[in-house]
Amino acid sequence: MENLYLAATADSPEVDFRFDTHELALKGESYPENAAAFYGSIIHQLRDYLAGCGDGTTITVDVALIYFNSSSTKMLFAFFDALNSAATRGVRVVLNWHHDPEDDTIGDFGSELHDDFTALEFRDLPTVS
Amino acid sequence: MTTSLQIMSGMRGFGPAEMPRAANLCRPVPMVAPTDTNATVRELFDQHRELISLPVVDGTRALGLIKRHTFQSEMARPFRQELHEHKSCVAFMDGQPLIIEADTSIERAAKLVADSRSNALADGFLVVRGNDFLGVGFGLDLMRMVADLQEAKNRQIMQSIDYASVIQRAMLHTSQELLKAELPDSAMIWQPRDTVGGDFFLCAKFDHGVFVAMADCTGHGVPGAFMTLISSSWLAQALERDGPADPAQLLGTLNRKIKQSLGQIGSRVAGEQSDDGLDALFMWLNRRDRVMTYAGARMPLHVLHAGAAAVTTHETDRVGVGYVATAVDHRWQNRTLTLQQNDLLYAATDGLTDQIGGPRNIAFGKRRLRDLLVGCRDMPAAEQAAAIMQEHGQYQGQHRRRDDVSLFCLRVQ
Repeated sequence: MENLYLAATADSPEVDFRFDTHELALKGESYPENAAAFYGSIIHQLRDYLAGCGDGTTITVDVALIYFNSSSTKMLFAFFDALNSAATRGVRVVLNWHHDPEDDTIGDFGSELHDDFTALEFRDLPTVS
Repeated sequence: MTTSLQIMSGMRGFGPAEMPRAANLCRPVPMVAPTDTNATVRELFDQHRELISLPVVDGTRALGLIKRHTFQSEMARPFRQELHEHKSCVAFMDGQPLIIEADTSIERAAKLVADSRSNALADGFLVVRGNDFLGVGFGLDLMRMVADLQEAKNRQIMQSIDYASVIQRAMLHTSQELLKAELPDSAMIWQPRDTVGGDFFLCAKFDHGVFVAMADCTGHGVPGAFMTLISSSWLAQALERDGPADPAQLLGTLNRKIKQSLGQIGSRVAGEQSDDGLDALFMWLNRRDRVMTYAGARMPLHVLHAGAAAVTTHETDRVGVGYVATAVDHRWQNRTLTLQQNDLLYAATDGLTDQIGGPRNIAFGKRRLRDLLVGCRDMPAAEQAAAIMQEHGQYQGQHRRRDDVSLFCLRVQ
């Protein structure tokens, strides 16, 4: 299937899903006026892609978000939930969680994801940008 | 010499109730008939220095537009004047100018002009009603009208939102007054990002104490404000019916009511279903027993006990109120806290802690908030709140405000 690329805007993140090399990246900030509309088709395409991934596939997900509002948070949960479901049926999913080491908000959110989506290989990556 | 020079009716003004149309763009311009010669056209262009284009009209039917620059450059070429001066003016006419029907909306007309291949923005366009010529419109007038229209629309929307803010503030005012009277050493900051917002608070007085709720509804701006009205009226009703002593139950009631009133129960077509709700912290300050019972949905309580060195953050349940993913019978958990004189209690919506800023472009964060609280613990609550908001504003700096911000501070008496 075709790769998905959306450039970042002031209130939406850069989406760089390279389905052909199994590398997915989200970067920037997320507080679009209508988060469901923004993430709807992204998650739809992700699900289609995951449906075609068999055992033995390793998907690398790089997330470097510095801000997301509550409605985006719900959509991000749907995103990680889809990945987690794939991981429970044998796809290997590595989640690289990038954040500033001083950013406790993003750091804490990462820990919550780690607790909630246990099938993901979570890597906390506090790096100074 | 006969010319069919006529002056068309002037541009008509339009009242606020009347949507302007392409007909309103018609300028009073001279026009010529196909029987008129190029000499007449030249004279008209000489007489009317501001004239960009001249319409050619046969009876009531528009044939085309003679554009000044095309006409003049054609006539300037060798022998052209001698050859064409006494011939019909259609020679240098653009026979396919942009034609716009009189009843076309201004927005649509602007789109047609922008998309036209005949450079209608610079040269003008014909306005017709059916087959009848009405007049010539020009790009500059069109732009001015679009800008006025946009401004009028923005003004109308802003006035509407400003008034909505009067209503929203009135709703919060009662609680604000109650706080001042019942808990004098307390402060409630409410800062919507966009005039109105999705945060709200509600305070109510009971025989043995005071109930304080802080909530952050999904979204901000107008949709957020809708949510605050729905939520706070359901909460007020539930409080009246069940009393303040069981905040967890109140969260449960609000959850059910929101899901019912927004139809977030059962299956609906995806995308059409509302998936809205709120994060909240409900606090029942029982002054008689000096105990606080509180329950929260994704909103922590910060406590700085008298004599303690640091702030303790009590996380609450990680389940939001009212959302599709929250079960209709979900039960939140009550927690209790013994209150001692000079204990400090704080609640804030995530707009405060998640604001981006500072030298590293990262969120303000809970740690920074906690350190700040310790630093200003000796001030009265109102001064503490002001100091925190000032620090927060400095941290935000040139960054955009990301969300609505609310903060509650209370010193226990």
